[in-house]
Amino acid sequence: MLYNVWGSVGSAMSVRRPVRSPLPDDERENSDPESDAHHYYIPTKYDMFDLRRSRILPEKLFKVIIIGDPTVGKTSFIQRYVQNSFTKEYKGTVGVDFALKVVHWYDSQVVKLQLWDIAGQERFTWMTRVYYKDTHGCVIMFDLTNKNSFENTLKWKKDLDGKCTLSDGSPVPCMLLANKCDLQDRKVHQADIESFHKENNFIGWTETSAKEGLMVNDSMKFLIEVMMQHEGVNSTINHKKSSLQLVNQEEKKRRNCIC
Amino acid sequence: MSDDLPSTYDVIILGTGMVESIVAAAVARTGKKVLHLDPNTYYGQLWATLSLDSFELWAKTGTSNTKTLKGEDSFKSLSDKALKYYETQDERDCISDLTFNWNIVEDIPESEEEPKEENASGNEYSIKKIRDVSRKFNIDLAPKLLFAKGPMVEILIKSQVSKYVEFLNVNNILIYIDDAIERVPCSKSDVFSSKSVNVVDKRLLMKVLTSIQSYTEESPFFQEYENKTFLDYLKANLPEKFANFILYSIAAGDQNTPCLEGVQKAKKFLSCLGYYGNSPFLWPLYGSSELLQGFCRQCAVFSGIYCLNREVEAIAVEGDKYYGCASNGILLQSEHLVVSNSLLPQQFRGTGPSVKRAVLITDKSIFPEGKEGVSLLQYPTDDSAATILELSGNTCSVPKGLFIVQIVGNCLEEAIKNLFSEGGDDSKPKILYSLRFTLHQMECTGKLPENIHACPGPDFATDFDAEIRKAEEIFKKICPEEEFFAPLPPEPEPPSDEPDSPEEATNDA
Repeated sequence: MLYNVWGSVGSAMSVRRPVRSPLPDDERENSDPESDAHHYYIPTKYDMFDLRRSRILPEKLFKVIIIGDPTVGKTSFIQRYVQNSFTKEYKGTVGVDFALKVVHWYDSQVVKLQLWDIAGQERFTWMTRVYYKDTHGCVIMFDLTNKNSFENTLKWKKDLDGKCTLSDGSPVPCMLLANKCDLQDRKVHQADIESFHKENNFIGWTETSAKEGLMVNDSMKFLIEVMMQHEGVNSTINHKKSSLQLVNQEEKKRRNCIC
Repeated sequence: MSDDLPSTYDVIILGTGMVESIVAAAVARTGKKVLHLDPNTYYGQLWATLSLDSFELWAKTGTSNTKTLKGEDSFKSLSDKALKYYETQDERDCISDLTFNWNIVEDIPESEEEPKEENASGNEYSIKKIRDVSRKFNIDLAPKLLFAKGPMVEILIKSQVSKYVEFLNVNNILIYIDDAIERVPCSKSDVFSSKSVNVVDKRLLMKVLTSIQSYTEESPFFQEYENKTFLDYLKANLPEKFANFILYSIAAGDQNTPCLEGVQKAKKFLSCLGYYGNSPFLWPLYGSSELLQGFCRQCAVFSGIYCLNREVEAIAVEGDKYYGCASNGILLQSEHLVVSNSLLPQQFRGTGPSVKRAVLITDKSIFPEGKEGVSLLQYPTDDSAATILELSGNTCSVPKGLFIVQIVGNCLEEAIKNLFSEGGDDSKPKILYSLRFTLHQMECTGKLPENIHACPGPDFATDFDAEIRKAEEIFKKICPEEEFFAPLPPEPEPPSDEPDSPEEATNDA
């Protein structure tokens, strides 16, 4: 892979090989073990007839926030990852907090990712705490052709760590993405990013191209892996808390009836 | 960061206080283009919730960030139109007589700490040790509670901003009476199960609570008290102690509260019981400013543009109409301006009523036998009253083992003296840190152009009812045709597994 420059995490990524599932031969071809996509189970049209697949898999829900300067490609990245498309004019869906992506994880888990876009709050370095709240993972993105956006990633990291931690108090796992690697006019050196990400406790970094779809799935897979490890240690994630959430009383009653 | 703000909007909102933020979300939902500015680096102005570091900085400088003043006259050459410029003011004028004090040692040397550990009972705190966990503090400048069935809860649910915020019950409703703190039996079931009330008093209390709950406009029961105080009514029907319980804790009133007003307030309190546990009040985790941040987030999700740390130096008026805002050397135009009273130009701003406030950090609860969480204590005196809110570790406002105490009321010194110790008396909570100030409400006094809408700062009520009313009033002026927080169409079904289509396999190769 031409632009695949993982930092110290490169080795970690390859440790866990995907578990092979007993797939029919024609399906196995479809998911080439070397390709990015093999890391998930990719459903096909055969699924609905295959009883082995229809068993209910355990689900995990993760909130992932994507932050960084304006125009570095955050919304395009989400759009590429969730819908596998790229539009120059894409503005995000008005009125919706996050995009949802469902990933089959090693054929044994369903991982639901809430990808929170920054909406209009990106013009300054300070986000509301409600945006960061209860997040399990973070992507900080910059534009390889814009040195300023690289320098500002530190401000974003500090804003995140200042307002939010995992429920055990440890910092939120945060991945650094160098977007727009399809463009020629680079202003940031790989060696600089490498040392920068180590100094500032990012879990890893890579170059991506939301436009070409390069390393989009791979990078997110890596983040899911790290979040799954934290989830193992941190049993409070995905557990019910003692606090109250306001709900419409009528809706609540309706729901109770169904149960 | 990038400063290429578009120059025209439907609505510019100046200040991120509670009313401004509610209006921001409400207006953005109707599709209007909103720009929301704040001179500070944090949300909320005088409604903010701050970490200890920021809170200490706020106490010293009046803001939690260091501002650089821009060239005053820079805006005067902005437009060739015949505009009159009014310079905005500083919210700092709302605070006076501010004093603060640490009541513990700066630092405890490592070597001394070891042997002390065994008999340490709250005396081992040092300023350094507390500052080290600064981020675990979320200290409110304007703490307020939500009535479980009040307008704020209704709007939070209707707007779906409720999904951003979690709440706790205010689980100890207390009163200071006869030199002791007592739990107030709020509901009929509380009265029923109370061990401190004898059978005769139980019956009387039940009767009064039932009459209050069944009160309607025509209720003949209260008519004979029409020109009397609520206390007159209560004293005629209850022993004095229970009369005080109802007057101060349930009706949040005083000796002069008229009977009908007291009955209405008590009825509201009672009608809020049972929705979210046996408490009429809710408290937002992480502090009151979570609410306004939730509204700001919603505004942003509906394409509102946010810009903190951005001052508006002057408001430009053309004839008798507001025209735009001069900010950072450019003129930002909009149809409407929503602005915090505290930032209004001096021609339009006057000082309203004021109240004394104090914030304490303590090492023990005022009511250790109560449930952990949020306690609300009314402290009545002969001529006034103080309201005391205590937050413990599970509110996410303070590290475990410590407490934040918020006191409002002009007799707060007396309350502090009787409830807390500055050292020595181990039976009372010890004050580790204290801050006192006087909060002035700013009012809009002059006649503003019709398309400028001024928003009040924090008032002295315990709930958000007035803020919701004001936000709705402003919304109706900007969007007369629209419903306030009209329900949204249901969110689209999340994409199923189908987008995981096989084409994806080739993307990254």
